[in-house]
Amino acid sequence: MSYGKFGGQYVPEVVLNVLNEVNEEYEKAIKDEKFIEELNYYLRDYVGRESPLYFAKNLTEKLGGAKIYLKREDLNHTGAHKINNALGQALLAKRMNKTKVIAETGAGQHGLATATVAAVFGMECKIFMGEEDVKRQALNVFKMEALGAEVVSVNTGTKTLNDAVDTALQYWVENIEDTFYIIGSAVGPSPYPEMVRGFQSVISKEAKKQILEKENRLPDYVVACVGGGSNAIGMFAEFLEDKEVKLIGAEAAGRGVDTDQHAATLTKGKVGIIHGMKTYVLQDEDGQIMPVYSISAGLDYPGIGPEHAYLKDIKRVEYYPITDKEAIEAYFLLTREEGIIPAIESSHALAQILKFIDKTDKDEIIIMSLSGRGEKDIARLAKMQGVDIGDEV
Amino acid sequence: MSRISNLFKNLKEKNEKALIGYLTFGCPSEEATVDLVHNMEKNGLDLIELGIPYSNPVADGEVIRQAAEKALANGFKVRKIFEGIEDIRKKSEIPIVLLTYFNTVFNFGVDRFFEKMRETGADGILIPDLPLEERDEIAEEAKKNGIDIIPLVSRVSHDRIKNIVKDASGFVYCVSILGVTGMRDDIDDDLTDYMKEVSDVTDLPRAIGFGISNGETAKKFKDISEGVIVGSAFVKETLKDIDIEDMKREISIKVKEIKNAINS
Repeated sequence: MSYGKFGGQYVPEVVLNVLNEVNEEYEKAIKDEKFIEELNYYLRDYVGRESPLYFAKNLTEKLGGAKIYLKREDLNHTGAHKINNALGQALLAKRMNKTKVIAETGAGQHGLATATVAAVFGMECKIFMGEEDVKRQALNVFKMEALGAEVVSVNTGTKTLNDAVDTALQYWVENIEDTFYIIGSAVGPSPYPEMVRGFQSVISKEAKKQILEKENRLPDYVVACVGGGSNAIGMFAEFLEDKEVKLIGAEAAGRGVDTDQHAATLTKGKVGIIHGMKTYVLQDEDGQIMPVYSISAGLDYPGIGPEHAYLKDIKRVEYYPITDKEAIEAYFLLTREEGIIPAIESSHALAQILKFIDKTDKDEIIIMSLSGRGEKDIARLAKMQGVDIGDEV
Repeated sequence: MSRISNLFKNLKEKNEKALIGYLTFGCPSEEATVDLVHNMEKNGLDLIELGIPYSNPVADGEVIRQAAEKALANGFKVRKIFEGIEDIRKKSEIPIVLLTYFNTVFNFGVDRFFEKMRETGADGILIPDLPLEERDEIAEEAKKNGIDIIPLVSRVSHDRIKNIVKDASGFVYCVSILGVTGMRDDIDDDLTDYMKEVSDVTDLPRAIGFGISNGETAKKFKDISEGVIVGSAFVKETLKDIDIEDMKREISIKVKEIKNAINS
């Protein structure tokens, strides 16, 4: 499947058969009541869904504009939206009689989610992680290992997420018989973007139902952060047809889009091929993939899910860059006002809201995807303020 | 007839097999690559694949990755590959196949890229991340400019092979293993059935690549293919901290060894 000119399957021949197999099985699975029943069982009793749609009263009053609702993906088991997809794909792997799962991870959130579902389903698990990220995320590495996963440190290229994806794909090629690759974002060759969207769209299905119950109408704005774009596509999916709902994505501008240290793919990228898909890519004038930077390890990715590229082009979703500094301010604002520590990724979404809240009316409604919790970011933020509280927690 | 088709036709008449070599262009330098190609040809190389250094070489193992990194660190730019081909063509008619990832071509502009290939004298293109499903991206331009699209098949391609080789030209690149490029001590598997699957559906010559690093392994494939492809074993020498003359000598020994093995 493709999204306009975006998407596709730009991968070596050896992967095509298995992609087709995954696609076929996925199509069957989502029409199979038993599969859906099992998925829903785990989503409810293991992940803890549905996640609340919380009215952020203090924040709303302080800002004086539209009512702000938070979709609390941070309350999921393992602390972020990632588990929705890891769970779905692991069940699919089981259905395909694959005994091993692999995954790439940047900050470690998707690796953690995958290691978690592998533990509960008794599957062997390998997590590919850039050497730089292994160093930066020692706690998550330890957690994954405690869950029984093997963490493979990737030392090629920039030694980050970009390279971890390639290495995971290479490993998959060599072990295609018994291994399933659980991709963590709405990226990669088809059918992954549509599959990830499928498993993450539970976010907007619930949110839509919840807002209709609470407010008896649709929201005016839905806002989410985008790296690869999985929580955003999950948050947008059910609202795409509701033209009156404005959809807004916030991407990582790092130290600014005019510096060379950002990950603002939709703002600064151009169309190209990365990780098996055609999409916007941060690349130099010669087509080499560029190193990216953001304070948020979950957003520093040089590509973007192909559906987001399409939604930008058809102007259904607007995407804006948010700097580290703006995200950090939003992080502490939400913590202080609501007693909720947001992931630094999710803080990008709130920072975008802060930019337009003055132009909203009190009777308008915003839903923001609070994609993950932010305890993982505390140590680094403390260090930036000159407080050393030891290693990352 | 293209240089590639011509090569295989001539070899067939002599009852010989082709030795196809791969070098990462620009490692250790652009001039060295050109020099090495001439030297390899002199020692029996039949066709050269030039790899365009890329930041995300998903089908490549450690050795070729390192070579790409080195070339990029030396300031490689895509336009230089065409200067390199022009240089080779001043003295040689060896068939040249470019091995590139698709983003390089796409970013350069598909039409411009193929025009440049034709103008400078390249013969074929091999794009590991452009499978059959996406081949339309280049099919028209390749045809217009008389460039062979070298198709890759794998051991799990089976039913797909028929469609993959349809409309392809030059030769079929048969990937020997499930994995990335790089030297293996040996390839134990029997590829006879796999190679027959290919010859059942096409008359194009078949060359086996990935993992072949010595005469002994190459020899095993001489009766079931029309050629073997050797990459990392050559590239490894270009990564060594030795001068170009030593590099030429080391590589020519390898070329002769493998060439002899497949034609004895």
